[in-house]
Amino acid sequence: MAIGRSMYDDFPSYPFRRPPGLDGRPEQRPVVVVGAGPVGLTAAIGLARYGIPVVVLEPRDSVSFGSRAACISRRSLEIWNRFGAVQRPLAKGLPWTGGRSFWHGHQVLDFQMPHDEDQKYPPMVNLQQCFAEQYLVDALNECPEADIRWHSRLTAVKSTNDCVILSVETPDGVYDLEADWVVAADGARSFVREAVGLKLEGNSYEGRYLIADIKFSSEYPTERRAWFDPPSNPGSTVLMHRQPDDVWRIDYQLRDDEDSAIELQEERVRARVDAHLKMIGEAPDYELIWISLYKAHCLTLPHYRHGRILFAGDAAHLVPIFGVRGLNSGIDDAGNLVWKLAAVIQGWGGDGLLDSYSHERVFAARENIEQARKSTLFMTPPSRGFELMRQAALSLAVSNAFARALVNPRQTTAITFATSPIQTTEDESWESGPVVGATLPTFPIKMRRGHQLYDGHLIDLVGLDPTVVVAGGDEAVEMHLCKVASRDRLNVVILEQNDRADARPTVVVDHRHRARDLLGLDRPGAGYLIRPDGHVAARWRRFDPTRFDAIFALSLARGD
Amino acid sequence: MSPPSQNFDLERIWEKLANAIDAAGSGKEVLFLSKFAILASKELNDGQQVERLVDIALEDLT
Repeated sequence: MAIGRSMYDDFPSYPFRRPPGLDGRPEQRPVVVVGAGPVGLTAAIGLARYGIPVVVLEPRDSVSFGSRAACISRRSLEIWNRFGAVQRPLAKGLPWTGGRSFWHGHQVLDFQMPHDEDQKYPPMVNLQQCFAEQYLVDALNECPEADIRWHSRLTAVKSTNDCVILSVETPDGVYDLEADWVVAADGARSFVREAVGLKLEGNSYEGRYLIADIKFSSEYPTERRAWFDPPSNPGSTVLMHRQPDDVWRIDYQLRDDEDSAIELQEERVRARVDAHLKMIGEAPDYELIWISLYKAHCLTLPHYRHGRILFAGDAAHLVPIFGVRGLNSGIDDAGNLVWKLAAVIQGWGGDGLLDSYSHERVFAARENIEQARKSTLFMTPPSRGFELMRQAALSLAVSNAFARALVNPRQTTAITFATSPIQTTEDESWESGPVVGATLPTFPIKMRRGHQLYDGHLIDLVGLDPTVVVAGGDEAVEMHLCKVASRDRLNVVILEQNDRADARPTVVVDHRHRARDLLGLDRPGAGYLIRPDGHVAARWRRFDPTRFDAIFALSLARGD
Repeated sequence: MSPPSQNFDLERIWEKLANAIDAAGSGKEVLFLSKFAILASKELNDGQQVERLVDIALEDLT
């Protein structure tokens, strides 16, 4: 519910542009993305980076309104970085690393998310979703491959063996658009999902949260605060997050005896916010900007691939808000899907890649749902038993450190795929480093370009192509990898402890000697095969060229 | 159940718990016992044992 539209007046409305399909010129497109939310836009920008023409269909004429999904994880920032879209969200967003929880006037938790000097990005950045969407739209509008069609509502979806035919309603009439592939990122109430007769599976929780965005000035730093059963809102849980431009987000739980319609009324919200601000010693002098009601859902489609239609984000799964896995898992979907779809369209990967997208991201959704479900049981106890156990945990947490683990909000972290049709199983013993299926950690490195060394990060070296990261010093390994790279889409990164005289463009210097600790690379030629989405496809301590060729082919689902 | 240790006096613990429930006071007994259950479970440090004890405690609640 928009209250203070003035705050976001700068967001442009986009005009309707008449597509050729309305003038009897049929269009066949390699990819149509349905939905210009953050997930659809991320998928579109990723595909454009691969040079693939992409149409985005969106019924609205501008980005969405309100803060919505306002916490962006490190993993999401890394994905936007890969697609050249991280700078503006990072510049505008407010980074944070931890938070506090309170119960009856006691601080019961002071938590920190994993963060250290090796990281390129903070663990979390707060940014209203509308800003994130606008930055992605601006970036897409600069891509000649991308065509965002506003004022365009899908009215029918027809799948054939060769294509998907989409009927699109516009202010000037309805036209058909033929797509080789469709990315359905049209949100929780996905039309595509309904149209092809698919249903989300799982359950929903009764607990309701009301979200109120207010604008006021405060010196309090950016961190997540939670109050359990506070004197200002007895029986409720209140969360508070700082966002850019002096906007603060207050989420509070509605008690079972409270009526949603009444509680959504502006004066009721103001009374709750006033009481909360008074409790924390802030002046109740604010502008109310946006109100929304939230319920926790634990739902997913059992498969994200439906022939030539690929589901992503809320269209594919709904995850409870606690731990911020909604938007972030959707961006992870897009990051996983984009390179696979590009590889299939451009012929450097097999069709099985798209099945692996479904396999991996359904697994991720189930992991996310399980974590968020546990958080939900704590944040909105569904029964007397859970309520009592929460009270007991909070009471113990005042003076007993062990009990604080029960209060911890379990913020989102990158998912490790237990299995995947395109990854190997480990057959050597490693002392450290990411296992197969995990994501590549990062640390500062120096990159050579010509005669100059530049500061960079390991993750910057993972671009649009698969990447091998290998410890330098074994010439035979390097020669084999360079041979593969000369005829295939493979980016070879050779990690050296010190700068090397014959430095080729692929040599990077691990000047802080982190590769041994963080990657377990303790011998020349040991290395990792990293997919374009940053997941480890395989790793080896002893390199075997025949085996490498086989795992490289497997990681691209070739020969299926 | 584990064999009794030399200095474990169940009757004494029984009394201690009864007095503690009274000390917690009206309306706070359940919270006290819930906290105690978490603390005791943590101290036992044996998930299977705790689950078994929970099941036993659920018996004969009539």
